[in-house]
Amino acid sequence: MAKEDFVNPFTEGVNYEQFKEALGKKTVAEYCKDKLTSEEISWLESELSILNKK
Amino acid sequence: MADTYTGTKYPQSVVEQIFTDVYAEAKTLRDNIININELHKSSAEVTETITSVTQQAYSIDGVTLDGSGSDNDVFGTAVTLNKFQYDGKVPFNHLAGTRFEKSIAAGAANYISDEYEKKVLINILPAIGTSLDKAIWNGATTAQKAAIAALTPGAAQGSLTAYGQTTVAAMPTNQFNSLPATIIYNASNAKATPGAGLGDYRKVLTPVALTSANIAAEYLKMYQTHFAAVPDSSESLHKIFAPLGDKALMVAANKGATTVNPDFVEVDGKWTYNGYEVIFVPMVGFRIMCDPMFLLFLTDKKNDAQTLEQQRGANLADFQLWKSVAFAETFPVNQRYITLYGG
Repeated sequence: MAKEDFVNPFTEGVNYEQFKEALGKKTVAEYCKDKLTSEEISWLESELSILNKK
Repeated sequence: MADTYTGTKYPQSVVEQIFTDVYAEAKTLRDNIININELHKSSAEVTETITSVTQQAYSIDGVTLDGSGSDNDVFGTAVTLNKFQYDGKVPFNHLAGTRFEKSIAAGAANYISDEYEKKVLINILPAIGTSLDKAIWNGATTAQKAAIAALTPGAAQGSLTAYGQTTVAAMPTNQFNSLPATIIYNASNAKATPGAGLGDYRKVLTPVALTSANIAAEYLKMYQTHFAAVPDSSESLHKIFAPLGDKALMVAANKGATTVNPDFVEVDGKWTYNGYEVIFVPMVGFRIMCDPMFLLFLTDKKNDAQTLEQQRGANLADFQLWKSVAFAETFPVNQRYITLYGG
């Protein structure tokens, strides 16, 4: 099975809907491990938390 | 039988001068810290031009008529001013011998002859000025809030963060839009995608709530984001507009360090971040870095519908009623050279 490409939410043109779809059932920390910095991961977790409260 | 009371409607020349004195109470307008156009007719266009020239080898031939040595684009965006009012009543016992919170420039009251009318102006004009000053930096109309809430949020350039979307939602609902609100969403035809939609500003990735511990690092992100986009030496004109609370964070950051943080320097009350002046304004949650001339406050001081009226309450009531009508809107230009922290 081909490895799915990492959907980087900081890439221009990528929105949170696309990122959440790529996350699937993984947490942000699991999905983004070794791909983003800890600061970026922490910030994304905060962003998705804000979105989930809407 | 109806009771009729006639009050005072000031002539336009007086209203114009009164509004000049209102602006004197609004620091942003008094000190001209942004680009102010007091003669913008509602729905008139704000024009932006993008001109580029090409250095070429010398030629004795005439300049080519196709203009291949230069490129000049003109973009006009119609900006409608929002009409709004302030009104209220002032009890007479508030006008007699009371001490007022602020003094007022000698101008406005001297145009009005009646004692109580003068005192009403002295009472309300500072408050109107303060309200305008706050609204320039914090607030959005109901329609603007809805438009921004409908944007698809994202982390990357070219999208609005959930943080920014929430900050706008928490803004006071005003009758005209603040600069952060119009930077985030506007209908400029000079954008890469013309028309109503997300602004073309540069956003600082991963904005957070600032503390004295992180303010230096977050300002550095803003600085680096900004100068990645600014192409030339016009950067010396650029300034940082920051919330009033950032001053206390800078002071705390300096006092908390074993040596004074060289990033934030204060000389004679003026603060700079690595040489760029920081101007503290009543903005909440956002910071803006750009040439101040890119931030427009538009109003129409000469509009006949801009009025100030007052009269005594009906049936000999012991209070004075007043109503002031004005027009305003904010608008950003050269958006690609505006950096927004929090957007």
